[in-house]
This record gives sequence, structure tokens and C-alpha cells, in this order.
Amino acid sequence: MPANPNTLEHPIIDVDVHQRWRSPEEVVDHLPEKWRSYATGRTGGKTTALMPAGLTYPFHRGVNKRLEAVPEDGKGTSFPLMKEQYLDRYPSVEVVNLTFDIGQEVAQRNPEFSAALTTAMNDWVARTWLTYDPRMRTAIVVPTELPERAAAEIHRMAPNPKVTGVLIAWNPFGKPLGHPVYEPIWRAAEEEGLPIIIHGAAGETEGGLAQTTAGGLPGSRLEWHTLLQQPTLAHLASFVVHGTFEKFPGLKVLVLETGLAWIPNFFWRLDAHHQEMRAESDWVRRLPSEYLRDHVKFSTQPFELTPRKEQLIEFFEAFGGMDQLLCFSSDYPHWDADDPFYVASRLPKEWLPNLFAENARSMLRLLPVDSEQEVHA
Amino acid sequence: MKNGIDIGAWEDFPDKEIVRVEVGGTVLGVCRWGELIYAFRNACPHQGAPLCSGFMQQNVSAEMVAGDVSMLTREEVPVVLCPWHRWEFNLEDGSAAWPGFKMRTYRATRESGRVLLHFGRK
Repeated sequence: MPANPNTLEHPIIDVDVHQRWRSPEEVVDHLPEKWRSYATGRTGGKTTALMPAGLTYPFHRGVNKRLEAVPEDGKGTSFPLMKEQYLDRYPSVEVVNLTFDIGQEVAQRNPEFSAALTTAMNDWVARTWLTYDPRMRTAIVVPTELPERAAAEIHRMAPNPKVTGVLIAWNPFGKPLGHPVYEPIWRAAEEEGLPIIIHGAAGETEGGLAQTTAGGLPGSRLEWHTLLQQPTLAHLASFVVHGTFEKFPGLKVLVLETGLAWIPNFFWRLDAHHQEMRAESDWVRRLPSEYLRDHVKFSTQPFELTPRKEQLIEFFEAFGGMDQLLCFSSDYPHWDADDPFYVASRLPKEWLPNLFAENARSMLRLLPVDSEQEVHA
Repeated sequence: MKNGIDIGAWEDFPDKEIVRVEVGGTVLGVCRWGELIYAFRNACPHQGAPLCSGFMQQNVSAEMVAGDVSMLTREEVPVVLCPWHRWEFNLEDGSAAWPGFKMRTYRATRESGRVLLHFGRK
């Protein structure tokens, strides 16, 4: 005790004093073996974030990366590793379209902070990764909760020729994206010739601030990852029914990381139901699937694993035109990334030129860039 | 059994760690699990991932006990966890949960304090 402790006449019962472990190991080491090994990362640490439920789902082996793609210090991602493990291994890669680590940081409670953060993130990628290799291009993030600010950010970044599109990393209002509140963003993107890029269902993936799935929040990453297409369906139907593609005929939408086999089901149902319920919307003047085929393309990852590859091909051929809708994506260095040769081995050869390059060329803004000149926004 | 390829001393292979070994241009993962030793090709049969960057761990499954699920860890069944999609492969026979994908395994033996690799059929 100190020499002259401060004393009160009455005893004190302090009902709120906090403590925290110095490192996650102190807690993780008390878990059963199954969960301990689940949380142990490649660099030896127990790296699974011990965060409140709703912010994220823990990753198997503690990270959302391929284990060999985690730098030795466990921090972030590394261009030298990307070069060794991806660019050098697949020398025909012409463009790498960066999409942050899905951009979920944009999901903030404070919209002003979200706006400042998006600007900082875009300046960061322009100063760093875009200068590392002439093949680097990037999507930009925008503060979707402040649509006019988002439009201004698009116009601020658009002069950078290495900007390919606008990553919608968060759906702050919990409304499908055809809602008119978002139109300033679509207008700015159309004016600048930039596609909208919806990754992992427009940011309802992490952050816990909007609906991840219909029917309630799932209790595991297995459920969430399998159901990731659900919000994307809501957004695409909303774009069609609420006239987004009629209002912005030059707007293009690239859907990333939601799988593929649901596309025929969704297009067929939307067309069939439109025949029955067309009185609901004057905006839909053509078959819904025609709008989607004109304006939307889909990335290949995660590529569905069917027992026989012919099953998926037969299904897609029955649907028709799938070779015009797909853009290859690896998702490197994420844990569920697809190998380009694997994807090529699962589809007809004649689809591959469109799938690996031409469809993306018609979707992303790919401007000529002087590879010797570093570009800063 | 002689005529295996000598790939090092027993002590060169720490328990429950995957050691990358190159033999005649082929990269293998070699790993000890207690007194047992295993070898496998450093390529996942799913998408070609470098399995040596993965983990060795015991098989974890579940069983029904009195109407409830109970975690079942089997120390005697080691698996390799793929660094990419986290698929698990049985080190004894290379089998995976998904049919049609099998990790290529090789026979490794301990002889007089050395580890020998055998490329023939297991």
C-alpha cells in the first residue's frame, strides 16, 4: 500500500473495471484441441481475431489467406510473395485488378470517417501497389453512405488511368442497390466510364452492419460462404426492376466472388415472374435477363466443384451464352483462391479467350498506361 | 527393406512438422508423427497447392453420443491440411473427403537411424 493511501469513509464497490489478455494465446490455449489448431496461423501465432460476433467469422488456421501467402511477420500481404507465387508462375497475366482486402473497412458507424477512410485507402493504393508493377490496376472504394461524397471521390480518382472501377464494399442502408438513394454513385461511375464492382455481395460480408443472408445471420463461415450469393441476387433484381439500367444505360456491373451455378436459376426465374408481375414496374421494358446480359458479368471464383466437370458445362450450355458472362478471377492470395489452370481445365476450351481476357476488357476501364511513369492521383 | 533413397537422419525430421525434400527433381513433403513417418507429393490434387506450406494435424470428426454430437479427435490418424482450401488428406493413403481427389503418397521407412524413401507402389 502507498504511504498515504486516499481513503473514503465508506467502502467502495467498483462495478466496472476491465481487463484484457495481452495476446490471444492466453485465451486460445484454454480451448479444446480442435479449436486451438483451428486458430493457429502459419507464423505460429494464434491469429484468429477474438472479436465480437457479427464483426466476422474466424478463419480456419487464423487467416483469410493461402497459408504460404502470409508474410513471415504475419502482417498484411506482400508484393514479392505475389510476384513469386502468382505473377512469375503465370506470366500470361496481363492485368491484376486490385480490390483491397475486400474493402470492408469502409463499413463505419461514422459516415464522415468512412469518407475520410476511403480517400486515404485510394491514395494509399495509388502510392504503393500501383507503382510496384506495370500490370497493377485498382478498383477504388467510395463512402456509399454519403452518395454525393462517393460521386465526388469517383471524379477525384477517375483521372488516374490505373483506376478500373468502383468497388461497392458496403451497403449502409440495407436497401437493394437499385434504390434511388444510390443513384449519384451510379451516375458518376457512368460518366467516368467505370463499372460498379460488387464484391462478396456488396460488403454485407464482413462488418456486421447489414444483412449478410436472408433468413437471419448464419452461425458459421460455412453457411455464410455458401450463401454469399443471396444479397447479390437482391441487388441485381433491384437494378432491373427499379430501372437502374434504363436510367444509366452505360452502367456496367461486375459481380465478384459469388459463384456461378445460381445464375441460370436466377435469370430464368426473373424472366418467368416478370411475365406475371410486369405491371409492378414501368422500368422493365425488356426481359430482365436481357438487361443483365447487357450490363452484368460475373467472376469465376469460387468455381463450383461438381462431381464431374461435364455436369456444370452441360448446365451452362443449356442456359446459353455463359461464355459471354464470365470473367476469370483468382482471388489470390485469399484462402479459397482458384488456380487459372484449374479453371481452364473445368470449362470448354473455346470459352477461354473470352473468359480469361475479352469479357474483362469489355467490363473494366483499362486505359493505356505508360509503364515507366508512376501515376499519383 | 534396403534400396530406398536415403533422405536424411531421423533427427532431421522434427515431430509433427512438414519438411520439404527434393528428390530427383520431385518435391516431396516428409513428416514425422511420433514414431511414424510419411511422405507425399508437394501438390494438392485439387488445384496444385504446395502442401508443404500446410499443416499436419490429427483427424477431427464428430460422433453421436447419447443423442448429442461429441468431438472425436483421433491422434492415430494424422492428416495434412492444404494451405489453400483447407482440404484434409489422410497421410496413410492420401484420401480426402471429396471423392476423386487423392493426395499422392510414398512409403517412407526408418532404417538404422536413417529415413529411406521408396518410390515404388505402396
